[in-house]
Amino acid sequence: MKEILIISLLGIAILAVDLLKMRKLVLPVTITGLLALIVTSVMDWGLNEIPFAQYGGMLLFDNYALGFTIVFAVLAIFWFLITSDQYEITSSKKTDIYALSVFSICGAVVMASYSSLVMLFLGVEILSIPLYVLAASDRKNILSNEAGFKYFFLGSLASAVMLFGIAMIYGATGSFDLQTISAAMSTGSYSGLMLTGCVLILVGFAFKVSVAPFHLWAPDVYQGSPTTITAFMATIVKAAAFAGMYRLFSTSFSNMPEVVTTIMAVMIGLTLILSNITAVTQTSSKRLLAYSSLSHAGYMLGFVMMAGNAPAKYLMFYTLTYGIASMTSFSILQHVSSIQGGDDSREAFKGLVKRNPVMAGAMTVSLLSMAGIPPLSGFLAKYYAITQILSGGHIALVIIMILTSAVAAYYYLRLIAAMFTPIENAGRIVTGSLQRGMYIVLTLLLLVTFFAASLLELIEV
Amino acid sequence: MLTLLLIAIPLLMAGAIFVMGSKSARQLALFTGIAELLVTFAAIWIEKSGTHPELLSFNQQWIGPLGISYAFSLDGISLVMVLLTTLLLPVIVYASFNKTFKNPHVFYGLMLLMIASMIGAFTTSDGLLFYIFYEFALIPIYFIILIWSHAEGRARITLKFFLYTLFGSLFMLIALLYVYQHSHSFAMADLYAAGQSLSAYEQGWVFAGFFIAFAVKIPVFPFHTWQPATYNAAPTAGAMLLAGIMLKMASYGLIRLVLPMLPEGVAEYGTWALVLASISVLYASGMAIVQKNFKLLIAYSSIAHLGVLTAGILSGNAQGVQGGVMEMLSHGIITVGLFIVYDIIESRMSHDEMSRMGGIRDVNPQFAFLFFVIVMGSVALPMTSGFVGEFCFCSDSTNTAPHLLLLPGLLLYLEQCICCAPFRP
Repeated sequence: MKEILIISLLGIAILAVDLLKMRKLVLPVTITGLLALIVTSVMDWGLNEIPFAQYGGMLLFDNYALGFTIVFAVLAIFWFLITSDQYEITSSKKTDIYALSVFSICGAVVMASYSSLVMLFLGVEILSIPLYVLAASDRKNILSNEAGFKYFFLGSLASAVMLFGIAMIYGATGSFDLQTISAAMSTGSYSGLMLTGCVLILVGFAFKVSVAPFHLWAPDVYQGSPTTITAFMATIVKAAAFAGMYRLFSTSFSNMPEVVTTIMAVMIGLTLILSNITAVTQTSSKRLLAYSSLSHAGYMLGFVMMAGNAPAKYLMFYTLTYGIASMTSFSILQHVSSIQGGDDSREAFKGLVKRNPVMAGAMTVSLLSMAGIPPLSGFLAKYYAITQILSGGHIALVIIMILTSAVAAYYYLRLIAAMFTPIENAGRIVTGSLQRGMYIVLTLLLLVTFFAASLLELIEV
Repeated sequence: MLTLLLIAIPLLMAGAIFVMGSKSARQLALFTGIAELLVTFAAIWIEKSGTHPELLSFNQQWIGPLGISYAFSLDGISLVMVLLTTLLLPVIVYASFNKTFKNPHVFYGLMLLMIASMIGAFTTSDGLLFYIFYEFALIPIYFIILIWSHAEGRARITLKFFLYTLFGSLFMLIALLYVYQHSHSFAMADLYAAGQSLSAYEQGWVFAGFFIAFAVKIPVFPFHTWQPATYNAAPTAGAMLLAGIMLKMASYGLIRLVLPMLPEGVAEYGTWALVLASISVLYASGMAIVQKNFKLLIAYSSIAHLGVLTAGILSGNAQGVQGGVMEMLSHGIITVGLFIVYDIIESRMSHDEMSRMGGIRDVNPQFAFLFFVIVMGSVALPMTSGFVGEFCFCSDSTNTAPHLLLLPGLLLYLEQCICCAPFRP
């Protein structure tokens, strides 16, 4: 309950800061608000609070919701700090973007804590609507406008499909409540309405998390949006969409009909193969990272497929480590390509190790982590996904995962090799001390979370 | 605890060297090598005396529910491999003492990181940890070759090297996970038990997974294509690390993981691997004879030797395994010796074409003599370390498969041709 209040008030506070012309305060205010969100989430741990129980208890702040709230807040803090030098200090655009993204995070919190399908839909919309604006926030850039437009149309379509599915589930079970639906489905006999509803919700989510064959919007939107926003979409938004999806599939649809599992397995296989192979052919690094983000969605969908058995903390670990690595690489890409006049091909990265060793180091570690090379936490994250899927007996899927991760290593390494290729007379790239500090911290985090993974076992989610 | 020390010293020193900068990097690296060697001697003494076995092992749970622990133990085979590593480290550092590298602190730091992960792979008794160390060793050597190589197209060559070995080891991960499904623990003792309980058919598949991983790294024909180019491109110290120690992780893996875990799989399907290893010997020996370039000759002769080694280990009896361990030790030392010779000649002649190398003996007879001794070791002349291992294989082949006896004989002939080649007028 307090979590929702804090994040909504934070958004309003940011707008107030803008109104009162204290724009220099916007970053400290945002970070303080997000820290408060983390603290309250930790304090509420284990309470299983149901706010507004008199209205039917449509939210439930159990450990799952709080855990994901912490993941969102941590990623958001990193994101705000790492992108803080991307806007002019005093422009109102900065406060607009801050407020919109905080409202979007509010939607993310709702998506992690709903216990009624109505709230799920509201959460999806609260998350998405600010995003449509954010995607188009580079107003003078035609690509950014295109991205916002595309995202809006396809996102609305996905929401509509999901809403249709929710209506069918309501028709079949007479309830929006997750537990009631779960009870209705556990009988083992599925009506056609129920099955269609289930599949339609799955399709709606598949749009939102961008897994094949519903992924075609994602590369365009990721490429067209301003890079900072792309980093936001690829990390926090993706985590939120998976949080919502996993919550549904681990409670209501926990004993899914076989056909839904099969559909998901096919989606995972398609996503991994298509995204990794397409990524190899990309010349734009931003588009490459977009495809790599798609391939990670395939792994995360693996957790959802095994939602009945797999503890949610492994999904949280995945979203966190992937989020850190992805955010770092998008941010560095932004720096490099803005210095190179918008060029984001591999050529632009040549000699980065000389031009800015911290950036090159952070980028290398992030890419290796996303490739899943030990001892970086990306390896463990992928390892958890693979063991969960293997325990479900989907050996073919595991083999696809492992073979495509070799393909992924190929395109990541090409970028790394470019960074270590010496070039003549390259000027240094200057970064702010805050950014440099963030790159070092995030790099170390990717190492530390690997060795301290045993701490994850202490958490009950 | 000693095991932990063996891994911690290079790791901490790598960190120290990174931080302290380029000034005394090589001295620190040499110091680390000597310290490691002393710790290894202490470990050997403890193992021999058998008084404090608890000093040699360490076990701490890492990820409990998944059955992964930080488990290390030093037994006979591990000790031999650790000895090889720590013996070669000071030699490799000292061999590059007179060279000036760009950013030497990064170079030596990466070298020590790699040593730490290789010692980790040689001493761990946890299957997943072995995989992690085995994989991690790739990263430092990738950067060592990428940054300090002068070869044309090094980005392409290192990429091929990295991807080949990564691709191979992913098969090991699949195989390991398959066995884990039955053991629910990565402790090697549990993996052995679970592996042995599989049917011969399943063992065959798991064996195939492991064999692809190790065959890429050993390397065995037809998975060897990354190797000559990589050796050729690598800075000499990198090639020494690669050929002398790193590739031994694969043959060590065969002995440590595959043989005890999949006895039926090896018995049933090992013949295929044996055939590949034999082709590898013949092919690489043939290729070696026609090389004009000294470094490529070392690369191909290395493939030939390791083919014999693989065949010996997979013959599946105790003598073969003993010969394998001995041969790993001896091949590591001899290859590093050959690379030092190469480095000395190349740095003075600034080319490595063998046809233009004649007459070194007239200029420096001592050098020529020592070179000759190393070559004789490689040919496995009696009284050299190479002989012990190959003798084990030969006598072993007569027990199991008489027709294979032909192979070592032919091989020895070929090897004598290739190894004596630099002395051709």
